[in-house]
Amino acid sequence: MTKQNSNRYPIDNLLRQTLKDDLPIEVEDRLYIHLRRFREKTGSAGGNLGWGFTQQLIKSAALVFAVVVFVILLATAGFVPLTDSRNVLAESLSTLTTSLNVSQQISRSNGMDCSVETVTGEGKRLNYSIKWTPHRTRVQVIGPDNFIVKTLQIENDRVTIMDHIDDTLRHVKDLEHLDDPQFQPVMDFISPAYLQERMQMKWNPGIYRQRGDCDEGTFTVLNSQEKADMEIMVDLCTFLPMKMTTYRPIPTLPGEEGEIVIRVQFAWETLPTLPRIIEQKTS
Amino acid sequence: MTRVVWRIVRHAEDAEDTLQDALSTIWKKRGLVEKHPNPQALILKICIDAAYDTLRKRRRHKRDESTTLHPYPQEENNRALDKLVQKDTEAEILEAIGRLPRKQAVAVLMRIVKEQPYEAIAQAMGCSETTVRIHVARGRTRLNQWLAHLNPHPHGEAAK
Repeated sequence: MTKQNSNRYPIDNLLRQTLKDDLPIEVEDRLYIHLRRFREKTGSAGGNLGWGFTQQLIKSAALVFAVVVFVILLATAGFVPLTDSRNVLAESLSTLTTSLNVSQQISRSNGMDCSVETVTGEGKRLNYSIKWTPHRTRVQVIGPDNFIVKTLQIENDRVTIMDHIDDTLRHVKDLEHLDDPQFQPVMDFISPAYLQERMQMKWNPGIYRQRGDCDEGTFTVLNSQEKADMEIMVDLCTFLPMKMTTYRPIPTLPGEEGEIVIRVQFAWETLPTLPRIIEQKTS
Repeated sequence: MTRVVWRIVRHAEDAEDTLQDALSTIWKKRGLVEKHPNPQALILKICIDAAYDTLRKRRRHKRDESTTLHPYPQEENNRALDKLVQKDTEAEILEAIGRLPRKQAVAVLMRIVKEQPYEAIAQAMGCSETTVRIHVARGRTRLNQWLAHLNPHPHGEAAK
């Protein structure tokens, strides 16, 4: 829809402004619970979609998950400008198998360090350092002068926040009661379980691309304006995420890249050794 | 799916119900989705259909309720007042979409809100592009008439 058309049809602007894409995060989480339940119900029904490729996945423990994620991928692939449904199916399958492998590998990880850089709407930068171990997670907020401002520690379900400026220590009942806004931008990365759930249920990849012969693949999560909302770069040897970049969607300027909001760099300490259930397929 | 449902329904509990309805329909029609020339557009249409049904239900319930929906508190500041007015506008627009015939509503939402090409809408709705254009034009004209008081420039509604 061009600007000229928008001027010709002012009702269009009114509709778009009123019915804007402003899904609140708490509602989004609730909706994804329904998607998860849908997955479970369709799985327990033993549904067979009749697609030939599903035969290859039979006897795999991931079949139930695969069927439902595939349906979801079809829905999210609505943003991909492909007219041939077979291409969509092939791409969805490739995306599915890789995302399954990534999800499995994350769940098997034993530890990880990651650095997170966030940029606020005013251009203010804030860095985080996150360290996972099997029994402890430590999140440090690093201010502009490279001083640690706050530390969040989760150990044996005990959540503690240390404010290094006020030199205060306080305990939080659990993560759901964590109301400190400084930690909100990194809540998706504070544990393998959180990251795995986001990968499975929230960040439905619209596009997956493997870079030629390179051992890297990139998931692109698209927003409703068909712009990249997020890119997740994956090491195809370990099937673990290497980098993640979230962009701020800009709905009014087609063709223009969004402003970077969050950059995450992962460094996995211990690589899992168990074999993958599903081998990666390339289309 | 979640986003398109939210954009039309704009109510948390209704969005959950609508999403469930849409997922149920997708599951029932999985054979059709598999064979469809444009499965993405079909799934989008199923979601919009479910959201439209929610708007229609809301209209029916609203008729039975009292008309005093948004009493303004006495100690209201300007910001909160703007928000209430915005909510009223939103409710009015959603109500107007719910008054449209189904095909017009679906075509308008797919075209104007989701900005889908006419070809994709036609594939999803199982009709010709010309028919879709007529649905969009008629729906747009009706909305222009019903919502003229909300529109700063209510001219030029005629679609070509």
